[in-house]
Amino acid sequence: MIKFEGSYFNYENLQILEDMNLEIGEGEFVAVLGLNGTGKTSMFKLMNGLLLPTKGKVEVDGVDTKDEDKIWEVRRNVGIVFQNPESQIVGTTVEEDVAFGLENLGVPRPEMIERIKEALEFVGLDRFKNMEPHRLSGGQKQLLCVADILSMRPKYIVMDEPTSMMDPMSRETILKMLVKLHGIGHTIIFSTHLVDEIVFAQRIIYLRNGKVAFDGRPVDVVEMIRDEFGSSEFVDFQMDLFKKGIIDRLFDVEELAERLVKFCR
Amino acid sequence: MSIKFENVSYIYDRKTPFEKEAVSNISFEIKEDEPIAILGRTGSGKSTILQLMNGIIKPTIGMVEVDGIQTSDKASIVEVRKKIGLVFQYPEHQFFAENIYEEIAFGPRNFGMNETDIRKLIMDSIMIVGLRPDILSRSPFALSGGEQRKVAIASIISCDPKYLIFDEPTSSLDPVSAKKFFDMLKVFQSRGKSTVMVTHSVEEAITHFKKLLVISDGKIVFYGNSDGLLNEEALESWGLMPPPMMRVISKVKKECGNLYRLKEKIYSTDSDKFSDIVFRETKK
Repeated sequence: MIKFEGSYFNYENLQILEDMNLEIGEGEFVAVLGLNGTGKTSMFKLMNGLLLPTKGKVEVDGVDTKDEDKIWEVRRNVGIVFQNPESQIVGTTVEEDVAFGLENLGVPRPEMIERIKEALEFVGLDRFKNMEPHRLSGGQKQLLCVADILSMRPKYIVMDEPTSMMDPMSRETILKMLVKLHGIGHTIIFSTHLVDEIVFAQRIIYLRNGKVAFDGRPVDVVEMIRDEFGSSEFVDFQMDLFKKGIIDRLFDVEELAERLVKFCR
Repeated sequence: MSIKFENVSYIYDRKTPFEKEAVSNISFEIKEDEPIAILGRTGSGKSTILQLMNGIIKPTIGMVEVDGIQTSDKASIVEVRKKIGLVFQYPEHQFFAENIYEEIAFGPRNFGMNETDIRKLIMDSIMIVGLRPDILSRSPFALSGGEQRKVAIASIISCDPKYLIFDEPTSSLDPVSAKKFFDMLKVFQSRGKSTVMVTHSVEEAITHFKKLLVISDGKIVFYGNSDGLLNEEALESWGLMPPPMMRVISKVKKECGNLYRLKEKIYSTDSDKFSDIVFRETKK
């Protein structure tokens, strides 16, 4: 479990996060929403000790992120992928890029080869293993960052606006990858500005001015954030079906179409 | 007065093994006062077209003209750049000044304007983008993402260009900031600016623009009113993702033959707000 307990975070004199209290359990699929500058990235960086709380504490599976002796344990458990893949790619080939994190963890060579193969196959980049990363498309670069993290086998995968620099096709590939990762047991926490993307999550945490303003199921939170954050035709259409009792949660395009076809027949 | 492309091709890394034709023999004209969205998937050639518009790059073949001035005419390139204000996808990545005033003043100073006029332009541009004057002494690096984007836009409009061209302006903006951006676009239009926006979002393009230019593999595949674009198969063949509702309804239609039964089963009356969505697709 990732646990925030009375956590505050200040950047110079500016208060970014204020009295954050929440728990994210293993196996959850969480979307973190909020306007620009509301503290989402800081919240994510606190989760693996890249930032430390100014006050209060953050724990990962019972380990305080301030415990310097155990920080690597925290970082092994919580893998973060940032918005801009360009800033995280260091290898001269796709394969070497995945190897980088494993070398830092001191993974033995035969196991490293196995893990690289597994991670690249999982994200569908195995055929590009010898390619220079700069020749990949934006979406493929983001998938490479997922493979980097995945190879380190973290329990929690945290993605900070993973789709904001993508075109809609690449966006869907990344989101489906998150669903796939969740399916094999990873806890997924991602942030987004696109209301349509909340349909993939089971829980929404909505931040306002550095505080948790709402926390709950997408169908409950959507109504509460509508005025402040907006909505979309796709989500509104589903909310109407939910209120009519036709669906019991929000779905992605394929799932919703499937349900409507069944309903029609 | 217009931005005119005549049989333009652009080839990157010419005569090398990496040679790639990004734009292939395209011709179009963007007239003054005609807001237009340029739509295309990643790698379709959209950004190349933008760079051709203000002469950052020159056509390999053909001609680009801005209000009658050829961008390949070195003697007039400053004039072209004064007319075309290009706001890059992540303009905030290019910040360098220690405060916002200096950041916005950089462009007009380069064009040789005097300090009194520059101050006026700065005050006017921050008002248009919705920033308060007390922000001017702050570092641009200490702002939120949405505010940084506004400063970047203000620094372009302070040069008073005639054409304002935006490359993916809403990516990484939250919905409120994105809405404010589109409100701002209307203000520019009401002040006589010609606006061009590049996007890969079909929804964004058809919601905010009547005129669309769609690029696929460096070629123009659609040029016309947005109403004519709502065709799922065509969008997919150009590598564009149709809006989610269009995809849902189309899948249901394929499986069920038509949408009347769906409409009938979900909505008791035609006046139900959401039945319009199904209706809209039923009529196609």
